[in-house]
Amino acid sequence: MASDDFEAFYLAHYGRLVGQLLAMLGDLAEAEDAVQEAFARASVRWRWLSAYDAPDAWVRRVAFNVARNSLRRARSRRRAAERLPTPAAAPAPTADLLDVLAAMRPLPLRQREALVLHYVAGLPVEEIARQLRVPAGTVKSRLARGRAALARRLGAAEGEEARRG
Amino acid sequence: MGDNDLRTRLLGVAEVGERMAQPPPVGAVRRRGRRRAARLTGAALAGVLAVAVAGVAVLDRADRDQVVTAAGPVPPPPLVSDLGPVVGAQLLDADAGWALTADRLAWSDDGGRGWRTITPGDAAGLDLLTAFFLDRRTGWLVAADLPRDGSPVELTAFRTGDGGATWRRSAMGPASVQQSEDGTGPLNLSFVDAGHGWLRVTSRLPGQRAEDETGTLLRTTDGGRTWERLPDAPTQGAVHFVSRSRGWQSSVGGLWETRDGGRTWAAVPAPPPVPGRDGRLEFAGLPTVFEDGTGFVPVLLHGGDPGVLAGAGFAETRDGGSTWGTPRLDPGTAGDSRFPILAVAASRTLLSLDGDQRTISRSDDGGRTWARRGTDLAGRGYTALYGMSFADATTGWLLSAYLSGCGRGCDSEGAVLGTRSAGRAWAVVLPGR
Repeated sequence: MASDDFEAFYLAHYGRLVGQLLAMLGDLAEAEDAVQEAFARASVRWRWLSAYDAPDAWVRRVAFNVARNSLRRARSRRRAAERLPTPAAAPAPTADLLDVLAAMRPLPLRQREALVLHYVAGLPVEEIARQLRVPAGTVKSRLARGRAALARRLGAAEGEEARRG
Repeated sequence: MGDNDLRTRLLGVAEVGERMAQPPPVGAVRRRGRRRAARLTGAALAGVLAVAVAGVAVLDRADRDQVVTAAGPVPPPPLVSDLGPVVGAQLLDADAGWALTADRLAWSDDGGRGWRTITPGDAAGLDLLTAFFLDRRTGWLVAADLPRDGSPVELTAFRTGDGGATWRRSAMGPASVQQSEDGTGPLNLSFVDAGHGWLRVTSRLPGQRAEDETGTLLRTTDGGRTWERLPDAPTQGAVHFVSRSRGWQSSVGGLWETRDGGRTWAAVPAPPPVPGRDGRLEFAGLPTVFEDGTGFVPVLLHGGDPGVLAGAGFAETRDGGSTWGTPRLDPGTAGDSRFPILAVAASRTLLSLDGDQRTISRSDDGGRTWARRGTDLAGRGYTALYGMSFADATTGWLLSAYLSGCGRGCDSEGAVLGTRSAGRAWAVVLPGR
């Protein structure tokens, strides 16, 4: 890719990465900030990154690291469901979306990270292990625990809705 | 709930996020990246490669307990070669220097061939954030036990007067700590003598954007026993002091000066335009000022294309930094899309490592004439180099960025490279990870 292609690369991948970060963080503003920071870092390294087979993977890794280390994430998580911004052109958050975010929120960050990388980004376990620098077994364990906890919380939320309904 | 159901529901969240995402103009993203790169260059040009692994927002004034702490084992600890990713380093003279990792401070007396750890014993378990040595004996280290959730933590200063053989500790007060993703966290130390020093930390409050970060300054006048909080500095950039009263802070495109030890700051006017060169000049780092009052500060010339540099070089002062003359640009920097790494190597020797790492320009007459030579860095896979500083006209160190998300194609995170040929040949001093 030539240097001039950075803009096309940016526009092609920005939204998808924000979506992935939203699923992990539960906060759109936080997700966008992490993704913008990652693309900012990519922009000054584009001469090298553009030669990569998948420069978007590099940006995703940086964005996840930025998000992981964000001082604001704790506060953001607590109020995620309440302050999900809704631009005029965007759909309002559905009840299911809020349920998923609420169910994800209490999970340990590492479990959420594994879940998003596997189920949303579509990465195999081995690739997640390489990215997170942990054994594949650790990734499997995080996925299993995260999946179980998420199922439990979503099941409880649905049960509550049914009782109210 | 099965795998498919889980995938569907998580993808639903991501799809909503993708639809709601509103990418800012690509120019804004590029500017953010360039500002960040400039900040790294600025910190290096202070002559100190002290780069922290965390940003720290100080919330309150410090406790002032002092505890005598011993360094590592006695007799002197064995040499080490594998320190892991280095996040800060400082070359004090042609042979002596230190390197900092997240959990170890190491010292070399032979230009980096051999290293021994001088980590304070009381720092075990703490995250080491930044360090500064005035000479081979007198130095400081700031550390904290970083919580993962950003909750307040005690910031601790260590000081040594015997090259790290023994350390004394003082508490600096509670702080909120923000881990930095790539080891270039906003925090640095600057000392002008054994008593007077400053710690600069960046305050980025929850919900605050990076562009709105402010600088918090702590000052000590008793060698680090006690620290007082000064009024906030104008920006979040690195600080560098050359006397008890005079110092500078470099940030996005600007330079600020204090003449009262950091209590008040004033913006330094942009240097005079370069004849025959259109564009906008901006300071791109901290000044280096010598005892005779001469010195240089790096500058960048931005042209019409926001993605391409129109030039880079140095402005000179002959009055201790009160005024800056017309910049002299390295002719090799025009038209580059990456920032060169600029360094003041000696009183008249200036160096400019090209953004593509293939060439380095050297001037021995304060920027009037430049000679461009090849380097041996090309093709060695250093994704992001920064923090070039020199102990003399030929001997210097250079860091490769510690990018925890760097991955393939970036196999030397947190390495220290050394040169004794003014940047033409670089040897690995510490391999990083």
